[in-house]
Formats: sequence, structure tokens, C-alpha cells
Amino acid sequence: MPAAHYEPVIGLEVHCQLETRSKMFSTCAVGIGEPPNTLVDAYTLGLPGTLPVPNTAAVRHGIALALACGCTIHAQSRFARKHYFYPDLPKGYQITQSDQPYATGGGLEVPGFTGPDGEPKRVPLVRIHFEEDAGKNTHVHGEDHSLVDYNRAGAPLLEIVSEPAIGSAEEAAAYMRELRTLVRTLGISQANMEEGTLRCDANVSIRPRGSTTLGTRCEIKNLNSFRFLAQAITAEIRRQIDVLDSGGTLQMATLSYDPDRDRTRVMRTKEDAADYRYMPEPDLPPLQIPAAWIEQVRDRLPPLPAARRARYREQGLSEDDAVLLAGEPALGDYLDEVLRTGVPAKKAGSWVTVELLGKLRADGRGIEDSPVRPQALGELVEMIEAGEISGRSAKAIFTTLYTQTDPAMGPRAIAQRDGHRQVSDTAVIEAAVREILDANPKQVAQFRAGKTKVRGFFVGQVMNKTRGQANPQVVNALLDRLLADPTSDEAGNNASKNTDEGSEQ
Amino acid sequence: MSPESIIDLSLRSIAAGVREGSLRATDVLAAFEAQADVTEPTVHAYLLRAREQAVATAEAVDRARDEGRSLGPLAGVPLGLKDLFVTEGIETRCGSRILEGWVPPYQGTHAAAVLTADAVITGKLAMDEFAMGSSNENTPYEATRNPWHPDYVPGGSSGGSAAAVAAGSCAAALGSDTGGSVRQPASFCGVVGLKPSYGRVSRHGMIAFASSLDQAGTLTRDVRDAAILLSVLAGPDPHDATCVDAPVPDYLAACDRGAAGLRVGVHREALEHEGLDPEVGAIFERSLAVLADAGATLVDVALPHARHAVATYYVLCTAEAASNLARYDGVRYGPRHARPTLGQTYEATRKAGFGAEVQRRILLGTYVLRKDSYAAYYGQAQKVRRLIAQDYAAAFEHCDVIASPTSPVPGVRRGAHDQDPLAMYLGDVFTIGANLAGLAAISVPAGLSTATDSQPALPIGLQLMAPALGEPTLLTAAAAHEDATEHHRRRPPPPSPSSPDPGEARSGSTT
Amino acid sequence: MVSRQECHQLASLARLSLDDAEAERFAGQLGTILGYIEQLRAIDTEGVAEYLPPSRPGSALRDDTNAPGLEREQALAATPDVREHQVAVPKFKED
Repeated sequence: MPAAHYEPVIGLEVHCQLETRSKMFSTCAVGIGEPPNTLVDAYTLGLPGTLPVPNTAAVRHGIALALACGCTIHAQSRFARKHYFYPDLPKGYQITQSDQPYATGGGLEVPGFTGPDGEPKRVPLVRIHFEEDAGKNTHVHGEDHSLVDYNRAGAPLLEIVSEPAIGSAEEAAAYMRELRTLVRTLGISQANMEEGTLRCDANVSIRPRGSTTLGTRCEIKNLNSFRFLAQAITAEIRRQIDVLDSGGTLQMATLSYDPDRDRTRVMRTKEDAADYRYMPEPDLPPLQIPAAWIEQVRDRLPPLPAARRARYREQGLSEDDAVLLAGEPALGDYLDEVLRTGVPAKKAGSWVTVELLGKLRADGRGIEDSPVRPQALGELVEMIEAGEISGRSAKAIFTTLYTQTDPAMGPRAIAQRDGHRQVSDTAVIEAAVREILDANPKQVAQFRAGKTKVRGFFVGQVMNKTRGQANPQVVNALLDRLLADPTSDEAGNNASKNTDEGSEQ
Repeated sequence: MSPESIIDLSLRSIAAGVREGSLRATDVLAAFEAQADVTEPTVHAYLLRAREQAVATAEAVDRARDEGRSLGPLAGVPLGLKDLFVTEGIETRCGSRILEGWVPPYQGTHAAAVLTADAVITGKLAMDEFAMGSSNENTPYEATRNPWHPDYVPGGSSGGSAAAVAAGSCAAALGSDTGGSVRQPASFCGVVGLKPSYGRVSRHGMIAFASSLDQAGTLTRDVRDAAILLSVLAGPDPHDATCVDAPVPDYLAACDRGAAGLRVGVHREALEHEGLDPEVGAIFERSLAVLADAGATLVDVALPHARHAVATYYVLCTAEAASNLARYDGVRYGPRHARPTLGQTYEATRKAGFGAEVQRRILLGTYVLRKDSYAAYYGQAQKVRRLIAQDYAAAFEHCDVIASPTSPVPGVRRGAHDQDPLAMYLGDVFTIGANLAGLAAISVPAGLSTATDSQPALPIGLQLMAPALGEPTLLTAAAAHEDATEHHRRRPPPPSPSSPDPGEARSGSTT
Repeated sequence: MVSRQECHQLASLARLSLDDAEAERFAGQLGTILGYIEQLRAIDTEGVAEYLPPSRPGSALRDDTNAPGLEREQALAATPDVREHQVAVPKFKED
């Protein structure tokens, strides 16, 4: 069957490391990039006699994500032990939640993808649960041993399990981006795939397009970058189609992705699947999440990406700008600060995405490091809107704002100092134009003789005379009139209106 | 005061003497050390005697007293700790080869508490490996003997703790009780064994056997000493999420309330147990009469699911043990038996490190936790456990404490259960219920069996149980029995040479 | 009730290696104990929830604060094989 006749069905299991001071079940410090085995305590190492005590902040973070995803949060849930022997697992079991997770249901909107009726696509979630991370193994090339670092062991994780309801590799990547945006917005995780604070396993199956039953599911483990995530899923879909098309049958399997060969590789099949011997964690009483706590967290939720996106769309931002600006909490926060000055959202948005982000990206800086404060950008947009400055001046002022060492200077002060205030008063400009024309009779004669190129000379002279503050449209209109008929004293109404070209992007 | 009279003092007399200055902690320690030197060659209660640390602690206590600082409730009391209590800087191996040489880099809550109370830790007491057993014979080391007769086991798994207190090689000891491991050896050795209710004392720093059943307990000469020791240990602990956050009552005061008005429940059906030794039964009836004479009322109670307690217990404790013992893999600590592959290294390390009883329980626990058998075994056992707990709750509506023998037999000869683990499991019949239901329970000396040609005179214990957090009532009843009798004053005969070791194969078992 | 083969499988799950004689002996003992435990299956537990010890309010959560952990030398003091400040084990394949 041609590939187009198959429909992939993808579910993601995402692990997100929560941003806390201490680990999930002990007061041991959490950190990334520290020297090996320097962030360990007795519990982290699984020393005999140690016991887990859950971290309030981790639970609060979990509540926030569950609320943001519209999950049902259970008043009582349980921790469980999942057993397997592995050097990076200090106790021989991982504390997780199995049959009684704290949150079930809910969903995540995937921007750029639509559902069957054209509505924004929402991928339903199966559950979210708490667990503790394992340590990190390093396999030394050419040596007969592996090394284990327990710094990461016990770090607090949320596992977010989606329904098998994602339709393509691209959609899977978009889902991951949205989840990253969401947890960053909530301030509960760095969610950095490169650093491993956001990790993903993908369950992939295919079925004939139109079929409603699920095909045999294969799980790709450890998809640790957005690029590999999409590539691996695409490769796995291809593999599954190849198996079916060559008359084979698919077996449930766990796979890894080899980016060098762009292929998935079977690590183990169902037959040798582990028996994790789950049992309720006897060291921990059931986790109680009272309604009052949930409400307290709800009251403190920041603006969420989906809501922000919807608001930006409503305020007239382009879809791309809305997705981009709502896609990173710091960006959205920045824009919202700009908007507090009361300027139109569309123009403010485009100043942020084009001018500001353009410069920041070129410098390899993030919005957090922007030398232009949102209030200043708002003021600048306001000045353009009011016709106080020309578009050219606006860009010059923006450059000054971006590069100035004295951050106290606002755009108005800069405009004042540098003489950027645009003059649109026709009478003032006309006086300057007449003066220039009077002072340069030779050039006027040349123009009138048909050498229209001289016109640029006049514009330049007028701008010089007005120190660049003359509204160029007014200058042009006056030149047209006075060069054609020097005796004219008509006011030139068509040119006196403020125009705005400051942000023709 | 002579060393002989010092070792006869109660814990509270020692502490009072040291606080007042009539006793020096170093002299007290020396007296108990001297006694240990005499008894240890036959009793083998200690796995490790921490002489240097003990002397240093005793000296520090004396110095504190000299400097006029106020001393804690255990001032200068020589205290032994079962080897499953984590002691920073003192080897802790839970009676197992798999932890041999492990010197904890952190302090357990119990060791910290007794040291803060100015006790002197004398050393680590012998136990069945990982607290699995009721004879102290499940050990790769020298098996502890009953101080009353070296051919008899001290009980277990806190056999070293009970034997040391009985032998006078420490003034009191800490033990742990998962299915009777404090009470049964207390009964066998003629001392007081207190198992507080689940969560009353922290489990942080007590190496886990079965987490939902384990509870730290005390072995003392008398009930009031138990009350004082419990006061030091009880209370919430930020390191244990299952530790109960309830105020700690005045346990010592509870000992003086008298039995008048107490309702003592008796589960008559349990006394029809086929394995119940007639003399144990008779002594139990005499204990009931003592309580009645002291003003208690006897009432019959029903515990319809109690007969399933042993089966329930062995499903739960083995499952939790299999889980808790997964961490002993020779990777981060403990001896490693290195092999070419990781898998072989794990297997060689665990095989060499764990004794037969521990391996047997790990296998059984693994069996009941498998995906296919979980619901039928572990899940079902947790449900039956609820039924058992409900039985107790219903019974305690009609009585304040429930009385029974502690053990169906006065003693067990060494090697008796080598070939039949189940027979030894069944010996826990009276004690397991308290662990399953999280109750407070105590074993107090109730008399001695009659010496015969085939059996020496051995102590027999009375068990009392109270509802969770009912320690004050429990201590009231226990102290009333003690105040009306002299059994707790009986001391074992001086050490005599023991019979030869009955053999290598030691596989018997429990708690 | 428990075969020698099953006993080997259990041992493998629990990372214990048994020779055939040991497996045979353990299989017999497990069979006896499981036979005794069998009584539980006949008990009617319809509608009975699994036992839970009484727990204290607030799930005994702790504040998100740090306490000093172990110095690396302390942490690795009991480790049989330390290389480059890490715990070394025979090389294994990730799965």
C-alpha cells in the first residue's frame, strides 16, 4: 500500500524535570552540569535506613500543570514502586505513581494544527504523574566499565502521557513545543531537551487511513531533541510501512533511534518485556491534594499560552506573530508589558518580532537580556502613532535605545536630544522650502528645464535645514507645488496629515 | 557502688544517679562492659562492641555533668542497638554479609535521639539477618544463645537485644518488631519488649525489612524503663512520612495509674491453638488472674480473621522485603563479587551476600508481586489485612487491652526449625496481629516454665495489645501486672559452657 | 506447585543465581508456604479496600529546602569501584 494510504497514530510520554531547590523525596540539592556525585545525600544513594519525604514545591508544580491542561486532579493519589535492577537506580526501584496518578484527563492545544472541524487541535491526555529520576550512566569507549553519576538521581519529574491522538511527526514536535512553552510559562521547569530537563518517548503505530482500530504499537525511547523526535517518528512510520508492505506483521517492541543512519532499531520485543512488580509505596502515605490547595494554585496561574494566543489573535496580531509571541513566556510577558502603554497590539507585536527579535537574535541574546525595556518600546510606538517622529527616526531612536549605555534615556528624551522630533507643520516646512529654493536659483532653473533629478538635492537641503525633522511627505508635497508654481500659497492640505511609515516592516 | 550492683540497676536509677552525681557514666559503662566480658563468650549478643566510642561518650557525659550542664533522661545509660539501627561512624550491617564493612555516613534518628538523651551506645546487637527470623539462627555470624540456657535460642529477630538486656551486658536495648521480633525474644529471655504503634517511632535510620509492618521497639528490665525509653524515641520525624504527628504523652505517669477499671480482652479461640504449650496456657491464666486481682475486668473478644494473620503476614512481609532488599547490589556500597558482566556481578554479589532465609523470602516476595499474581496474593492480603484491622477495632470497643501469651511455647531448642520454615512462621501466631493492624503491644515476664529432664526453666511472656497510640493504656496494664508480680526481677543463671553448635544448616525463621 | 524452572525465573527477576539443587529445594519450600497462603484466596473480600495505615494530615509533605548532602568522598567511601569520582560497574548496554 502506498505510504499515503496509511495513517500514523502517535502518543507521547514526556518526562519533565521540575524546577525545585531540592529533590522529589529528599532535601538534596538539584542542579545540572555539576561535577559527578556532588549532588547526593543518603537518600539519593539509596543508603539503608533512608526514607522518602515528598517535596511540596514539586506537588504544587504538578497541580499547576494539571490545571493548565484541564486535568481532573484527584484528592487522593498513591505513590508506587517500580522495580528493576540498573546501576543508575539506587534503590532497585523507582518511586512513581502507577494505578492512582494525581491527575487524569485534560488535553493540550497544538498550535498550527486543526481538528476535524477546523478547530484548534487539542491532544487529550491520559494522565500526569510524579516520579523520581534515575542517575546518569556513561559508557566509556574502549573500556570494560561504565560510570554512574547520581547527581540527577531523585530529581523531581512529571510524566505527561498523551492519548494516541497525534497524527504526524510534525504534530508530535509541535505538541512538544507547546508543552515546553506551557511548563516554561508556568515556571515549573527549564524544559530544555539538550540538558535533559525535557525528554520524550514516542509510541507509534500505523493503520489504514480511515480505520478506527489501533495498529501494533512500538515505543521509541529517549528522543532528546526536537529534530530527532520528528526524524525518529518519521523513520519509524517508514519502517512499519515497510514491514506491512512486505507482508510482515509488526510486533510490540521498544526501539531506539540512530540519527546517523536515520533508522529506528529494535532493542527488545514484548516477549522479554520486564515485569516491574509494581506495589504501593509503603513508605509514603497517600498523597492528599485538598481543593483549597488547588484553588490557591489556580489563583496564581500566569497567562497561559493558549489563552494568550487567542487574545493576540483577537487583538489583530498575525497568526505567526501570535504563535511566536505566545510561544515563549518571556516574549509574551514582554509584549504584554509593551501593551500596557496602550499602543495598538499589531504594531507593537511587529516591532517586537521584527526589530527587537531581529537584533537580539543577531547578537545571540534572549528577550530577558533585551537592552530595550518594554516601556521604552511602547513609548516609541506611541510616538510613531502620534506622528511625532518619522519611521526613519523611529529606527534611529530604536538603535540608540538598543545600544545606549545610559538606560535612563527614554525614546522621547533621545528624540529631543538628537533632534528627531518630526515637523509636520506645513508653515514651518514651507518657510524652509522657500528659503532653499530662493538660495538655489540655478538648481530651480535646471528642474524646471526638465532635469528632475535635482529634486533629490532639494529634499536633502530641506532635511538638512530642518535637521531631519521635517515630515518627508509634507516636504515632497510642498516641493511639488512650489517648484511647479512658485507663487502658490495654497496650504497643501493633502500633505499636512500625519503619516506613519515608521514601522513599514 | 559495686559493679555487680550497678548492673542490677534500672535504667531510670542509672540515669538519676548520673544526673545527681552519685554515679559516674564511665563507672556505669565499666560495670556493664565487665559483665559483657563475662557473658559474651557464651551469649554472643553483640555483633560489634563499640568500646572506644562508648568510653568517649561516657566521658563526655561525665564532663557535661562536671561542667554543670543538665543531662538527658538516659544520662549515662549503657544502651545496645540492634544492628539494623544506622549509627554514624559505627559499622552497621543488619546482620548480613551483604553490608559487611558498611560504616554509615549519616546518623539514624534513633541513635541521634538516644545520644541526645545522653545515653552511651555500647555496640551493635546480633539479629537474624535483615530481621528475618525468630531464633537469631539466621545469621552468618555466631548465633546468639539464650542467657537462660545456651542450648536454647534467644528468640528473634531482636535476639541479641533481648539476650544482652537479660544477661546484663547493657542496661536496655533497641530492637525492631515486624511480626513479633521485639516481643518474642523478650518473652524467651524474660525481659520487657515494647512494640509501639505503627508510626509512633520514626523508621528513619532503621534498615527496612517490611516497611508497612516495621516498628522500632525497646527491650528493658521493666515496664517503667520501657516508658522512659519510649518517651525519648517517640514523636514525629521530618525524615519519615509515615511517622505519626501526635503529641507524646507522659508514658512514665501512665505506669502508675493502676489496673482498676481496665477492661482486658481475651481471644479465647486463639488459646485453642494446637501448638500452645499447656504450661504457657496455665501461666497465661495466672496472669489474667493477676490483672483481675488488680481491678481489671476480663472480657471475651472475637477476632474472626485472626487465624489468617500468619498467611497474610507472610505475603506482605516477603513482598516488601523483596522490594526493600533490591538496593543491595554491590554497586554503591557493600562488598561486590565482581564478575565479567553486570548481570553476573549482581547475581554473584546477592547470592554470596544473602543467607538462605533471606533468599527464600526474596523469592516468595518476588512471586507474589509478579504482575500475574499481584491481585491474588499481595492485593488480596492487603484486603484481608483490613479485615483483621477492623476486627481489632471492633474488639477495642469492648476492651482497653487484649491479652494473650506472647509465644505459644516457652522456648525453642537451637536448630529446631532448620528444615521447616513454616513451623517457625507459625510461632508468630500471637504477635503478628499487632503489626498487621498497627497496634501498640508489649511482652512482659509472666513466669518461668518448670524445669524438666528435657527442658530447663525458661521465661514465659504475657502479651498485651492496645489500639494505635494507646501506649499509655498499654503501659498502665503492663505496669499493673508487673507491680503485682516479681517475674521481672528474675535473672538468668550465671553463664555455663554451651553445647556444641548443632550444625551449619540454619534456615529456620520469622520476623 | 512451584517448579524448579519457575524458581529459576523468580531468582532471575530478583538477581539471585541458583544452582539446580538450590532451585529444587527452594521450589519445594515455596510450594509449602504458598500452599499455606492459599487460605487467603477463599476469603470474601468483595468491596474491601486494601489496607492503609492511618496517615497524618497534609500527606507529610516537606518544604522545598536544601539540607547539606554528603561530601563526594563520604558518598563514595563505601563504593567498591570508584573511577573519575564515579561509581564504576562492568560495562553494560542501555535499554
